[in-house]
Amino acid sequence: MTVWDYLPYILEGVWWTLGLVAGGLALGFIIGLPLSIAQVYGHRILKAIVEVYAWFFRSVPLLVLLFLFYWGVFPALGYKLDPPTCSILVLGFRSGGYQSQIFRGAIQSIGEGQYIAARTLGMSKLQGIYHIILPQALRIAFPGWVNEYAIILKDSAICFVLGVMEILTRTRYVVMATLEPLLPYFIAGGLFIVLTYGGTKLVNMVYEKTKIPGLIGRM
Amino acid sequence: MPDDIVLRVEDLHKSYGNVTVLKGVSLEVRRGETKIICGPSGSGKSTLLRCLNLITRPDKGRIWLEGEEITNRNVNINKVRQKIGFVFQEFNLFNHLTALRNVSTGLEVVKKMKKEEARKVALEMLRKVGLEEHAYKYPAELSGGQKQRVAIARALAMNPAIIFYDEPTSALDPQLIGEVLEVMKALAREKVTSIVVTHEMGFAQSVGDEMLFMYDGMIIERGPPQEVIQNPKCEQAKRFFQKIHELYAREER
Amino acid sequence: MSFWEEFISYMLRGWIATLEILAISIPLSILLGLGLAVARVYGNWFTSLVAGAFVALLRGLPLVVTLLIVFFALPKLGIYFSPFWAAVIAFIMCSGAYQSEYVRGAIRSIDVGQSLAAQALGMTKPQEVIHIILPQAFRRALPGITNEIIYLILYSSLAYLVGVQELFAVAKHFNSLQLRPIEIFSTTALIYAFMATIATLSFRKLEEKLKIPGLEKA
Repeated sequence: MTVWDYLPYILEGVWWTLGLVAGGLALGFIIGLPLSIAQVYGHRILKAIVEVYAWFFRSVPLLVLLFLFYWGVFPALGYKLDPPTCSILVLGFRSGGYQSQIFRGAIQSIGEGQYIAARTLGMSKLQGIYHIILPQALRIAFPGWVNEYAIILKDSAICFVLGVMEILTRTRYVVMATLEPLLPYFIAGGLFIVLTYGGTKLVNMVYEKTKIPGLIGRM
Repeated sequence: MPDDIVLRVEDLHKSYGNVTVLKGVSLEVRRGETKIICGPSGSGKSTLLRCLNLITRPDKGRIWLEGEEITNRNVNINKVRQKIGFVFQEFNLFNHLTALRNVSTGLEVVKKMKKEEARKVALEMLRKVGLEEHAYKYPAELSGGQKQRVAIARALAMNPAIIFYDEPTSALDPQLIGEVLEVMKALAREKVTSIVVTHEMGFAQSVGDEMLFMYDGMIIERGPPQEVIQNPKCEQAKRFFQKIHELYAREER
Repeated sequence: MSFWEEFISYMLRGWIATLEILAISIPLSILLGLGLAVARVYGNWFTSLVAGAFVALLRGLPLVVTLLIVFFALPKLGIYFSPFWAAVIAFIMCSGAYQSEYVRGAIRSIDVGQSLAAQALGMTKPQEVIHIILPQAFRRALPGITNEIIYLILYSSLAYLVGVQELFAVAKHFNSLQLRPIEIFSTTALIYAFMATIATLSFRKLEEKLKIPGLEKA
């Protein structure tokens, strides 16, 4: 069989890749947003915890994290996780660390004035954050968030070390089967480039449609 | 070309798209002269200066500096610019260098002077503009007037044949204008050849040798500064100087 | 020998290999970043096109894929690299591409007046870029460059995939012998975190040293 015969097989990996990315981004968001709020508005101890979390997950390579959790932490906790689930969790924990800093920057860039105005109106801390700060912060953070998409997309390839059936894993099988390294890797490369730039462009188009004048996103 | 003519400009034209900014400007500057150019905004004054040191290339016309035609394509423009000093409205000091190094960098990089020698010359220039105690400060640490004086020192250090001042005091707070004009007046009295684009009529009358009034891309009146300012002949000049008198009168009150 | 004694002596060798990779990759990636940025801003249409395409390619591909292409696919075209050099080259190209974006942005953020003043003094374009533009652009780009260097330190672990016996490779091998993943991999994690943190602090110190009042304003 030629490399081209394996094309559908490789293409199927795109779904797995996107699954990893979606899962990782979503989990990262669920973790990162609350963490960023805690870091900006929480008291000292909470702030310190968030900072340690963010520091750890941004200072350890993904490769090490994958092995640490897959072979070490989860088994020790008694969980037998399959590669895709474990990958999504690790990608999510890590992205949470990065996203917490993206949102923190966005929140801090809004300026105290608006938060104080909200409290002056009688809003509680939570109401002020939810109604006034967050809507703006989310829009400001958007470009940084799109960047995070691109990063997770590319990092998802590293998950091949756990055997997840995404693009790169399949590409390597094809290389081994056909003994032809050049073409399969170029195909994989092409797929990633399309997903990276195409995805980014798509998401930006959506952002343009919902933009508010004056709230320019910052990277 | 007679020896004492430093700069000669013949029939300069410049357009941007369909807007013609310079419509045939000609002038001559003698050695030691201080030439004043003034006029309403949009008259082409800044464009004229930028054409004269070829930061902007004129579409038509010729320019000679000390006998050499600098509009000729074969001329080494960088060498030519060493002979022209330029003082910008926005100062444009090099932000990453101290005042001293701002003045010496042209000497070291362009004139290939030795570090020590360049430093000596730079200190001398800063002394001339009254800023030698600020030699090691960065531009961000200087006031507007001080920045502009450093800019003048930077231009002087290159020992140019002529200095162009492009509205040197327009970006300054009123209290700081005086210190810069003092330096410029002293240089004019030393017979440093220069062209000054400015609205400062007091300066123009006190040290200017000839004033050129520009309007809509052309020089439409010229003469001794007192003459042109107090007895303008054409309509546009009359209106312009009328406005200036009003402005000054209002400030004096 | 106890577990820890054996572990540490093992890891030391891997760590040295990692440091060797970084010692070469970090400086060269910075140079590449500067070069690509200058090529894109000041180059002619061809140079800036090639540089731009290079950057787009290296930023669109995952580093893993680039690495595997350099080591496994290029031999098909007759280009052979040892594991170490394949890794280093992939790292330099990828990091350099990302860094060039920061430098390019910094160059473009510099006020046009700086350029005009340099020209007015009679500086040639190369003189202007070397003496006036780059000193300022480099300082502005430093935070971004620091960021990329940290990534470089972490992603150096990927060199394991082409057989370089660096820190992670050694840890993994040791684990296959001793089967104590938690101790082994968390220690590995902490060593990387340590390197990343030292690097962050060092670069911050560098930023302080190079700081010039007034240069932060874009």
